[in-house]
Amino acid sequence: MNGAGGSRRLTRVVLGGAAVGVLLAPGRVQAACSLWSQSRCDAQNTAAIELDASASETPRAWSFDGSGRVWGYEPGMTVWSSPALAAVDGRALLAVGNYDHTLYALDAATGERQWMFTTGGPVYAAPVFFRDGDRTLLLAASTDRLVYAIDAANGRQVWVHSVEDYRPTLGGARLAAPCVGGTGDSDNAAFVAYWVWDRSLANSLQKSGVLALALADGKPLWRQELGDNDLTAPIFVRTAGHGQLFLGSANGNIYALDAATGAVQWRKTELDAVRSPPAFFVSSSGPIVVTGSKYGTVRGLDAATGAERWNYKTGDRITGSPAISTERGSARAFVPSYDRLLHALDATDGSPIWRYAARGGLYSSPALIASGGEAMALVLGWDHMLHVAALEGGAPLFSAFTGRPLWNVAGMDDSNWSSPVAGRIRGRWMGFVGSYDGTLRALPLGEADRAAPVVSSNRWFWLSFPLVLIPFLALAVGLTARERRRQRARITPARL
Amino acid sequence: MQPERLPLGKVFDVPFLSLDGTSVEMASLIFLFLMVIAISGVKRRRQLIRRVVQVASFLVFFFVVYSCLGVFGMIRNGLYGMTLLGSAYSESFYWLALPVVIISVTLLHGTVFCGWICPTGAVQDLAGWLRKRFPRRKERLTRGKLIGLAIFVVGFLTLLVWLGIKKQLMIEDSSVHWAAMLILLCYLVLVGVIDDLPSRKLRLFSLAAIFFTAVSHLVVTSPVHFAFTARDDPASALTTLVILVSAIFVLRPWCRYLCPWGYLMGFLHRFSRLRIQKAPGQCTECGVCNTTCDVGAIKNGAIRLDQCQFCYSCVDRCPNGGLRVVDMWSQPAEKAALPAKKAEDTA
Repeated sequence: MNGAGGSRRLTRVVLGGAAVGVLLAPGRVQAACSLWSQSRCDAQNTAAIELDASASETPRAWSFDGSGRVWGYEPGMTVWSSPALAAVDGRALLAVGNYDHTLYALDAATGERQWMFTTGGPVYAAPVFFRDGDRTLLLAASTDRLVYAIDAANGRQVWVHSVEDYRPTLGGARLAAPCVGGTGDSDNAAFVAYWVWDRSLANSLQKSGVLALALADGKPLWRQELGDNDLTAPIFVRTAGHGQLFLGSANGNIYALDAATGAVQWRKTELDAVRSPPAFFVSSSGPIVVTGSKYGTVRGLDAATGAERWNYKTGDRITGSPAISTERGSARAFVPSYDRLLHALDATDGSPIWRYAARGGLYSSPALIASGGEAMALVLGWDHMLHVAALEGGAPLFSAFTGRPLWNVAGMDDSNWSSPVAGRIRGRWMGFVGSYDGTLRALPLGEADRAAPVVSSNRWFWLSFPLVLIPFLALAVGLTARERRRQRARITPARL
Repeated sequence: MQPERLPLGKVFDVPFLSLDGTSVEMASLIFLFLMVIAISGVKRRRQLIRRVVQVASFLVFFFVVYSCLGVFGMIRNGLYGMTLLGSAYSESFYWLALPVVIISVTLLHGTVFCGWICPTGAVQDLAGWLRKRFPRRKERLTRGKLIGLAIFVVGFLTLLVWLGIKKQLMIEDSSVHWAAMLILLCYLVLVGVIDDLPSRKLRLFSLAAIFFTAVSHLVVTSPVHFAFTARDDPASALTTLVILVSAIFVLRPWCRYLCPWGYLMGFLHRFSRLRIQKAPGQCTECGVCNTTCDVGAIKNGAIRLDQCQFCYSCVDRCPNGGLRVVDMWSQPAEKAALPAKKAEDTA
């Protein structure tokens, strides 16, 4: 893929921070992701979860082909949404949306399909899970303008709500991944960012906003309109019993909303589009929101006021979310950029720690495994590889080919392609990648498992080489020989 | 108040909403073809005008046309568009538009797409122009030049193997198979192992191979594809380079031996309205047309319709006006005066 180039600018060196004890203080920051209730599991966007899935089989590498219904390409579309993981009835379940209008629930250990749920449009947004009594429900937002609550055990719809009333001229909708939170002390609401448009002359309309729905029945609690462009998924945080939402928009705004009322608490305007949700953590000097934009700048903002604490410039656009690790005594932000680097920064002051170099622009949000064995970051790049780097030092651990885009015309930065996620099932870390080649892959991440064959079409290249070359050359020789025989047959009687 | 049905204007507009640029793409293509149809009738400096049109069409394909993506893509996308008929008309229209326009113009005005518009043809013409600009002293290749070409062939194949081992080439990069085939065919033709005319039947098999890959949902990028997409496509660039080099040794080798779309064009040319034909009584069999035709489609005024690319070179350079364009649909007498197809083909 041809990158946009862009000069690589070095860092602004800022002060170091040490706020470890405060960071991990109980009650002030959410613990490691225990339920996948946000687009990237938690407000730190770690996208990694340890599942209590004793009924699951030992996980193995598998792939699931989702390219069967190849529609035409449209910028903005993806093949797979980012997946979400949960333990349902003791089994590890992976939920993921597809552009074929279907939400799939697969056994995360084996890849077997558990159920599928068809919506009225492509499902680009990552699904999330929430608990309703003793059952686990799945929340999915589709481009048919509907938010579905589905029983994760059997795929049956519990409730559905439309973010915009139907009219025949509605052109479409983009719904970002919902997140689960609460308007008070308990989790009772789902927050959905939407963008709907109607380009008919009579009803010309584009509008976007955030809608809060009651988890119990899907009834709207409040709605906050936020202009007229694509919004990222919101993240929900609750500090001292007070809920806040943070999200970005394609016109470069970063919003902080009051989760109880939807009121805009502050707005920070970036220089370019914000394409993916910000990350949140609590430092010694207060809560910080880390954002990245297509301008290539990472910013640490005061979560209370939106004031800038620090910034860091990468060499190219950022479309993936920053992810924050607060393990091992420091808060570090991991930021993928189209400058082909995964930047590890000190999240308290933005100073660089290390950089991991890939061969293509990094477009996805990273998944961070910071416990339970080897600490690593997973990120996808336009070199069609899943890159896995050590969290400590950024040394490359391994990489795996994930296939090329399904469509010829697909270009980088067209879409927020699927981001990898990680889950620990029966003690083994697995990476799950919905690739733009149409295949959803599960790869073991443990050191002993990495010898698993990498899915690659290189062998088909080699197989087709003689299959094409030899018959063609044989045909050319055969046709020439036949023609020469004919000519000889024509000439011979004349000579006689 | 919500409208009960679409405004009339939106009936036409709505299908294009999700396909931004479709109308621009179609308008550019139709304009290009209309320009060729109008200009090709101008006799004065026609070959210079053709070069200008080739450059313009290259730019149009480069900047505007995204439904083509090279000759393989045109076949693949056309087939894909056919599968959408009945279910997604606007997308079907998008993917079918270019092949349908080219086929229609070919039936109406001959194979002007090959001679005037095709970007791959323009690339080969550039190499051909270089060859004519620096003509060889001897028409036959010397042993030294053949050895040089052999080194290029071996070097290219070695490069392919090395890139393949390094996993730089995937199934989508299989246009390099065609490149390897092309350079080998050119070499074998030049050393006399195989002959030029019989090898041209390979275009049919090339079409069959691309058809097979298309129905198998395999994507094989085309030569010159790299110029039409925002993505890096080194394999396509390599294939284009090979076509360029091959065209220095054999004029328009891609069109002669491997172009699948060229085979289709040649087939349709037999039914097209216009064709170039020998004017009765005016041909002196001087042989100028033999050497003028880049694709070797003509011998002493007898034209192989399946090879002719309607570039008008033979018409323009015939010293006696012995070749002319005739309208087969409006002049039955001309058709009757034609020699049998078999005779033309074997000429």
